[in-house]
Amino acid sequence: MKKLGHYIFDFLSSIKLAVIIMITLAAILAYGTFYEAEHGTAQAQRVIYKSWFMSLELCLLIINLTCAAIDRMPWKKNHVGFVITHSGIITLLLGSFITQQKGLDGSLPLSISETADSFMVPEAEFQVYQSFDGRPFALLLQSPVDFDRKTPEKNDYTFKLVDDDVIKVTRYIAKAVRRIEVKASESKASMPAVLFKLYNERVNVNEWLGLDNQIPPFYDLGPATVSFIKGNEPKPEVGKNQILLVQDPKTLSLRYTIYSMRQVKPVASGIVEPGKDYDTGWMNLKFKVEKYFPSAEVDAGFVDAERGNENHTQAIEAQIGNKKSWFELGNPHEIKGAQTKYWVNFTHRKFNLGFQLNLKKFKLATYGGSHLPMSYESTVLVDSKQEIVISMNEPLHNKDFTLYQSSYELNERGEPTVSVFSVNYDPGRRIKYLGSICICLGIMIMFYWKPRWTRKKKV
Amino acid sequence: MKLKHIIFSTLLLLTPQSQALDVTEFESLPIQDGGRVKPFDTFAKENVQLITGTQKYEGKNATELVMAWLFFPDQWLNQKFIQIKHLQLKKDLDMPETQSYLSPQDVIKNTKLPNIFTELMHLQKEKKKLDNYYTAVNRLNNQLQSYQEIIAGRNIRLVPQALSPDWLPISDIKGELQQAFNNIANNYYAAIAKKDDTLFVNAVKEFAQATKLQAPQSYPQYSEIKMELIYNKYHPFRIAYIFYLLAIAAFTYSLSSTKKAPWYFALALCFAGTLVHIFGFALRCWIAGRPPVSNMYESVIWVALGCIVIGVIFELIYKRKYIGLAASAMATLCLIIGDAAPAVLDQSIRPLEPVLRSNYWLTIHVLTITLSYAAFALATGIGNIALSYYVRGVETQNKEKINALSLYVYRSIQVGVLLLTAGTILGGVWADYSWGRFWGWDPKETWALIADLFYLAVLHGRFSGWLKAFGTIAASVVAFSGVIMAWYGVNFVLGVGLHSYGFGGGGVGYVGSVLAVQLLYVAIAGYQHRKVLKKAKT
Repeated sequence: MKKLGHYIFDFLSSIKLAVIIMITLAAILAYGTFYEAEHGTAQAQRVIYKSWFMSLELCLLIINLTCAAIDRMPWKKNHVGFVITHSGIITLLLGSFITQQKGLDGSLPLSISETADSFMVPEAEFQVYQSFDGRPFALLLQSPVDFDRKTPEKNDYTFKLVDDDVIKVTRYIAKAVRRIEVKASESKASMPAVLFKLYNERVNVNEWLGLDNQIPPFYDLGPATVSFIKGNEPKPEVGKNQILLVQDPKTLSLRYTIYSMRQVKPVASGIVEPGKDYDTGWMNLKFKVEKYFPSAEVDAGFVDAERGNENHTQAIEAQIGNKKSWFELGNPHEIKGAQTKYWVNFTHRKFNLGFQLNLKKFKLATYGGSHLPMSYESTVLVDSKQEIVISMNEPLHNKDFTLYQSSYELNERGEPTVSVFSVNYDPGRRIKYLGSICICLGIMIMFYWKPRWTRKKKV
Repeated sequence: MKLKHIIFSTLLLLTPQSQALDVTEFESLPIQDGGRVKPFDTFAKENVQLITGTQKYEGKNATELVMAWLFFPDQWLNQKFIQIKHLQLKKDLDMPETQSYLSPQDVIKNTKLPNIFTELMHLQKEKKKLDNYYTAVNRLNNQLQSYQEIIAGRNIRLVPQALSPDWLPISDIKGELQQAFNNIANNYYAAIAKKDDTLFVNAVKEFAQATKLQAPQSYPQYSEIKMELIYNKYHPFRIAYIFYLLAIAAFTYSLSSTKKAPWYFALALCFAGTLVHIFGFALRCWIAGRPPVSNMYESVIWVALGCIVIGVIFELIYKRKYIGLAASAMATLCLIIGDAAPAVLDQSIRPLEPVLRSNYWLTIHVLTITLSYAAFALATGIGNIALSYYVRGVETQNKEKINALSLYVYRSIQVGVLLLTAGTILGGVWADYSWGRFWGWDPKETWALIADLFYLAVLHGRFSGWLKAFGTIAASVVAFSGVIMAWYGVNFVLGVGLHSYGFGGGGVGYVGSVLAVQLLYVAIAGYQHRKVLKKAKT
């Protein structure tokens, strides 16, 4: 038994293990960077850098470093560099662990003259309010959730509400896009909907247009637009590539008119035959109505985003009784229980700053004669007292938090209206710095002074 | 038709011949462009490089060419000078594959181009990464824009304003200034006709004087403009690598010579090259008003400098000729790559992104990291010299040399590991200071760590005795691929992450082939080494 213990300790303190850790770690990380290029930063962080095998790898590294240091006890003068470097690595990893566990990293967008005392973090939270008059009224439930690690498919997310109502999160999509399902409806009261296709060798657009609130009546391709209207045909805008689809309120037939920016008269017009191609005359684009329902039933939900589509959001599906509904991150709405109505919010977690922050001014300076940004600068008022300027590389330190100028948002006229700060709380910072200093110092001692000491000893 | 042709050719004859006109005054006019004030010469070189792909065209230098575009735009309508290289794009524009240039007229007449540009706009609006095809389309778009802006005078900002940081372009000037500029144009035509440029030169001087009076406080000193003209004219880095090339020859000669003189001569050449190198570097800092830390080209120049300095110091300590040879070879390689690939490594001096401005930690961080690349490049150079003994099958006769070389490789790696570790940590300090996070697994920092781990594995392997001379040499040469990935690959291959200000495209095929050849070389050396080992056993 003792022999086995020795054997294990020898292995754990060996250089062999150290080299194995270095090479496997390098391989994982290298794979991770390619994975990130393919799947995006958030997913790479989750799947690679914050995975159990990374934690295992780093734990093994700490064990290896500790055992190697113990193995060489009692330490001699020529071990100084080795011990300092290796304890520096352990300290650095420890500091990082504290940051990961206790640290906060969020963002705070502020419009000019707006005041805030809290900020958002990327982690999500699930909230349910009792609803009154279509608004949130009494908070029933507030729970931090991490659907990425603990998916609703494998974990139970059932929460009790009022009376016998129970809410259950049934599905989660990390990269979700809105998907609309449209069916023909018997009901005369329903609104019409059209599925059109606009395509050439490079462009392929398939979109629903509708007069229902859930789908837009207008699509903007950039160089061309498609509009869906009921009633009389309006006058076209001159100088635009435009397709008008008009439903006749009496006969319910659908009429198309194609305009080109090059001429005032329509390029083509007539009654739509579904499935037939029409030449638009612009960019070899062809236009086609795939489906047309004079009255339609619309069901809006979410599906996984296709690869390469970066325009996605997070969404969950929740169920009360047998009624299911989708909730987009940060976009709450009402859902009915047996007797009571609820306001369900799937949102980012919020934390208090401990002080009030008011944005007075935001200045965006450019290099002369160009549009290249030179600096961003926000003037803020802290607790209605102190006026402070936060700029790139000049953060604000207040209470436990550090606020950095991170970006800004422009309005349609190109003027900045919102300044975005990143907010950071990092209790592991000093430990990490201490570790870093030890590592550099230790390597220097090992490479440059140790050879001299050993040489002296030989003499 | 024929008459038109004759008129056109006579007009062509009238276009300025470079020797007839002195444009040095025009070259030194200060112009505000791309966020800074520079000599017209620089502006012209950058735009001519972009549009034609070279810096000279039919005997005209860049300034003469831009002036010809500006003053005789109609004569250039049918001249083919807009470079286009992408084969598929040529096909899509119905161009013959052998033809590499378009004329403005070709562009105007082409019916397919607007659609292709619309598609590009669409991609850019959605912020999608451009593939090779659309990168070529984007280049063509920039070329045409730049040309149109020049002939309209909209980007020729020659007049400072007292109340605004923006300089006025010649398309917007009025009154006396407009008169003064028209005077240049008129005298330009006259100078060509009469072959006498006195009036033209005077007109340029008068215009310069008039613009200076508009806002003397924002008008640059002549010395500042002169510095940049010197930098443009003499190409200090080109002179430096010529010295290094000679040093390579001298070191190679000294290897087979028992005398000391060739070695001293080689060292002297290295010193001379280094002096010119440092002079060019200082000049560039001075022109840009900041340390050169912002793009790939500047890092290549800095790595070359680091390589030669570390190499010469080692050479002075060990006096073994190989180190000097390796250092001058690697420095030459870096500088030639920097000089020869302007399309990939952008040489122009641009203003810094906000996050990079006035940041002490950033400068230290970047210079330390790239200095570590220099140490590793040196190790790779020495390693390759050592591997040549294995490849040639003369390992057993050169045991002592190889052992010595493996020690120098080891020493270079030690320097590199210290610098890379410190530089990576400094990067963390900077990130913490600027963004509030010490480490975020950003690809650039991750690859710096991977390269560091590679070399740490080599150091530990040697320490434990697993890696003998051959192992140390081969492993360190292979480990340099980690540096290539961290240095070049993240910016040019992966193209994601926070270090986006250094991103670019191109050259992937070349870098990949060089890496493949390097690995093959190591493999051959390994094969030869095994043969020797087997023989020794039997």
